[in-house]
Amino acid sequence: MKICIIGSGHIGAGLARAWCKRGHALVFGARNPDDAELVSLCRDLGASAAPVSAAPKDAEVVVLAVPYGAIEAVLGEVGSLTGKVVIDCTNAVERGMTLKYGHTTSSAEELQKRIPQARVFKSFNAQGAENLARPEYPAGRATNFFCGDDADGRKLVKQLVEDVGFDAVDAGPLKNARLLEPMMLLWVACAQSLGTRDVAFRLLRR
Amino acid sequence: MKIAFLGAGKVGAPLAAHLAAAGHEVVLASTKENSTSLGAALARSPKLRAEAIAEAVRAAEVVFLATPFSANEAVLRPIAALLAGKVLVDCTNPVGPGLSHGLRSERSGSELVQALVPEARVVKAFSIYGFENFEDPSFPGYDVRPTMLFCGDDARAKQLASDLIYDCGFDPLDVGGLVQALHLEHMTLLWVRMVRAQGHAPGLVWSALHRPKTTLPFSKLVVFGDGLSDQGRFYALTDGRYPPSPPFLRGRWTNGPTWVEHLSRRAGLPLAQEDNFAQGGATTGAFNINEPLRGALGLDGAAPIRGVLAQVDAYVTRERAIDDRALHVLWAGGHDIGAYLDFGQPDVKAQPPAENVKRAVETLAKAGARRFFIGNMPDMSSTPGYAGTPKAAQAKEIVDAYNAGLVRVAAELRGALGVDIIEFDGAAAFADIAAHAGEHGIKHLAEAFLPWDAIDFAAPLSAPKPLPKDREGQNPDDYFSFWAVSAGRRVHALLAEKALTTLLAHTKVAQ
Repeated sequence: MKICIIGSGHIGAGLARAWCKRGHALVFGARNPDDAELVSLCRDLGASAAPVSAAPKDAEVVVLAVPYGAIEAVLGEVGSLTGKVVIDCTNAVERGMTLKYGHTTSSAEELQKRIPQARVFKSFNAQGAENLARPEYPAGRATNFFCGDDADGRKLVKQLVEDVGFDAVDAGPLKNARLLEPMMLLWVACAQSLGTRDVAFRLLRR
Repeated sequence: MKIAFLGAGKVGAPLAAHLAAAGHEVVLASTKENSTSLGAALARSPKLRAEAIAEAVRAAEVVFLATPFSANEAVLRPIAALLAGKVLVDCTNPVGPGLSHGLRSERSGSELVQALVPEARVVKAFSIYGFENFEDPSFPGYDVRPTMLFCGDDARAKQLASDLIYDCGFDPLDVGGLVQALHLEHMTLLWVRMVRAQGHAPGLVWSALHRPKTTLPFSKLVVFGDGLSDQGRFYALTDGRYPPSPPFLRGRWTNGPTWVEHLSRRAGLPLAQEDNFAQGGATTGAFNINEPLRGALGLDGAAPIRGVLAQVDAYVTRERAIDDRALHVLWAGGHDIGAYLDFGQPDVKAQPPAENVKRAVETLAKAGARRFFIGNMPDMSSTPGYAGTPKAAQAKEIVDAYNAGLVRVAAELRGALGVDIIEFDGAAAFADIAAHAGEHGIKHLAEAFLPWDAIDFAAPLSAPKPLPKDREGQNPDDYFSFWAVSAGRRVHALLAEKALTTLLAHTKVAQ
């Protein structure tokens, strides 16, 4: 699959490492594609980098892995996202660990309003980037939720979540993103409580 | 612990039954409205009883709010004064139209509850799943238990709630202050929408996976010892009748989980009930001081009433191959010394308890065990039984000799067998907890919460005696000792912390 990841921080690079291993074709969208660290990462992974304006052009899936404050700038630069699956990994968390959008909407729902022709999903937001590298725990495989409204898109997103090594769990329509974003804050609280960022939720079923 | 339930419906009834089964004294508050559900709830367990709401709440240390959210105000307002200072576990969830948040996500239900009863110590818990999972929290086929996230502003209230969560079959996980309740209520909505709207089966819970910060080089715990570590050996033999539970917690010799259970949880080392051989009354030898009670307990000659050496024999006989990564915990000696001081036998001079421990390790090592954790004895001269008596000096002398003997024996065993022995300074651990008792909320050092004769040894299966008048309304957790010389709930938790510190330090050195 052709994937464009905008952002090459912990989450963006973590996803890229996992997906390149699974044979996906990966391009980073970057403000500065010639950044030495990014060039080196691309060399390691067999990925490429391009300006935000050009990178998503051929991609079926575009992943937003930037701080949420940068979304406006990305949307200003990026070309058409019409018909593309867009995975929003951001968390609109403000100072004092509060949610910018509260619990009555979410960054993903707001994003969908801005790009109505794209198929927006929320995923990879509710845990630390450490879990992208090591989703397997002694007591099982970590769960990663996704939600969104598009029927075909959700098959594709589910596959991409599984390709990272997670147990992929469909959390329903995009409006449930307002439930996944506060989970990030609970994940942080769990990490603090247990004294380690190597912590993940796992769904048990009976 | 004394617990009252407000609401005994789909959420309250199963939780009340679990807690009663765990040995708590659980009372269901009856109101005009709940007579039907109350009858059904009482039918779950003969240990449950009902009382008028004011009486139930007045006597309780912890109150569960398990009414429908919409009833909270009507239920709480009239009893607000009674709830002052009590722990209020809020299990309710405001769910609004279209499975939205019932308070329009503006404020959490728990903060509203706190505002209704400003002097109660509110903890939000038992809220993030549907009732089906409170009914049955077991998830066969997984290595982990379901996690229960909880939050609240009062640290001691959260400690109590945490223990009760564990007793209901969940792993407690503290996610911070009551301000987190709004997030938890939205986590509930995720469960509700997935199950009630999207067709996921209701047997659906989260567990919190984590990697212990330091991976200890052990596979599990196997425990030998006395009542300090006993998880319910007599309780199993007597169909739950001895020791009387409550006041004891499900066959333990205290009112909470034992230190080894805490250690298992904190260190991430499994401890199966059948791998805990510790039994109240065990000496380091084969003898158990409860042996004379065999008839009164209704036990035949084959029923195991064991001292440590007999426990070790039973384990070695049972195992085909001993796991060489298992950590074998040995902690006993108090009954050797007590029986000698009180009755002159077994003779600790002719058969020193440290030599028994040596024999236990040799037997285990011969069968394949390589890793040992051995505790020494606290200063018994300052315990309620001997403090201020003529035997205090003798007690100190024997304890000192035993502890010195253990040091010598550990060195000999390491040299002769090449085994890994971790020495746990139980004496220092007890002394340190006692020295800082106030910081841990322990107010009474000299006297135990329950007197020695709380158990009628002439008729040990008889119903527990009523609490002495001066203990009524007292919190047993405020006492260093729960009964006679058995450690209290807080002491057990603190011992586990100290044991874990010893394990981690040893592992670091070994690496």
